[in-house]
Amino acid sequence: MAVISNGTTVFDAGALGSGVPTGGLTHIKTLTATDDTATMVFTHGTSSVVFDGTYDSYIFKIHNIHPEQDGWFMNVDFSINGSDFDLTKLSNAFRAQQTESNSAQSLAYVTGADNANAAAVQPISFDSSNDADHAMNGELQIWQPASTTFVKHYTSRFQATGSSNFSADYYANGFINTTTAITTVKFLMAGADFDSGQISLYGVKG
Amino acid sequence: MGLISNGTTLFDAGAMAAGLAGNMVFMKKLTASDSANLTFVHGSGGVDFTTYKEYIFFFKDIHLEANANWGVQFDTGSNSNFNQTITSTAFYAYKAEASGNTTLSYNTGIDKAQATTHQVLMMDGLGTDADNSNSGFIKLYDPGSSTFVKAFSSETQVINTNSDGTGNPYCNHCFVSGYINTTTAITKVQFTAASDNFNGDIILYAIA
Repeated sequence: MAVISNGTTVFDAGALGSGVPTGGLTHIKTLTATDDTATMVFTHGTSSVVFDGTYDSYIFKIHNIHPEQDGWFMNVDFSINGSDFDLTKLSNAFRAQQTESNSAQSLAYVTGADNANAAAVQPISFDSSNDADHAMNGELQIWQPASTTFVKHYTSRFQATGSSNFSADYYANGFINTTTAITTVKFLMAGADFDSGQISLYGVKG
Repeated sequence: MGLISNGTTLFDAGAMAAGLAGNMVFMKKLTASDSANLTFVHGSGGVDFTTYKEYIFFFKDIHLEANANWGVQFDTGSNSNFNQTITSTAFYAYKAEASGNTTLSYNTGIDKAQATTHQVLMMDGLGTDADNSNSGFIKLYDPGSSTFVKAFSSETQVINTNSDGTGNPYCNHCFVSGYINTTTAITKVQFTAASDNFNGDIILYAIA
């Protein structure tokens, strides 16, 4: 049953009418890691994932990622065909950190987490802690992944509890150096697997 | 009465179906008017700190009555001591209106190493001129968790008046991030100035 008001379709076929103003942040898909999860992969057109020109940008909100081991980067990578993760990226990375013992507070560029037109993964959280109460939280935003004109920009920020009991504020920003549409986004730990955690994909309306 | 279209429930029991109107859910707005603090309490006035994994508090035109700093603390259960243990980082970028001084620097004055004092989000020396105000946000992750410590990160744009001791207005971009070192659920979030009262709005949203 449709609901039509003053000539405008408010509801039809189980959805809001296209002319009805709604919130700008739309949940698309949540993936949950369990013990020994190696990767968390979002592919356009698979399992209800939308990752194309429908939205202006996409935000991955990453909650309570708990890794299997201490001391590894959490990474992201991208593909244009779902199988080859070999796209070059130019990026920068920096972080602020402070220990629980007040012994090593600093703001610094992280040369090990940037990319210089390399086909390597992009680190987004630069340490991991397997303590039972430790986790990583943050977000990664990607603009216009389906553009066939421009390279694809991304920015990320993470709060993480470090493996030697420190608080870290991690930033990674850059672009995927391709004008081909990105269809797949993959999250993985540099070593070991995920123990638990969620990654939720949202679309941001233009 | 529910409204069902093509098998999908659009409205029922006085509420719209989840996600239908977007996934950034307005939860509560508090307005400070010469107020000592603003406090969001789980279970009070529509505030719910257990259902969602991420909450965002937006600060709109926070105006202090004294040249001080402004920040946040948290508490658990029915406690109201606002003295949770926090480890955090802080850095900032600023530019002075008159002198042109610029800085990008870590701030050892407002970071925390297992401290229980209030977490400064807007650095000391906030301007009190009639046209001075400060805005930004803090994200709080999974405050209802009984497994993990509670992560937070903030970003604010403020007007400082004494960052270099000259009294010149400064445009100051502050980044604070850390964790509340408890696995007990957070039930209260309180925003205060270091001294005197403040004005402005704080709006709480949840990410569904």
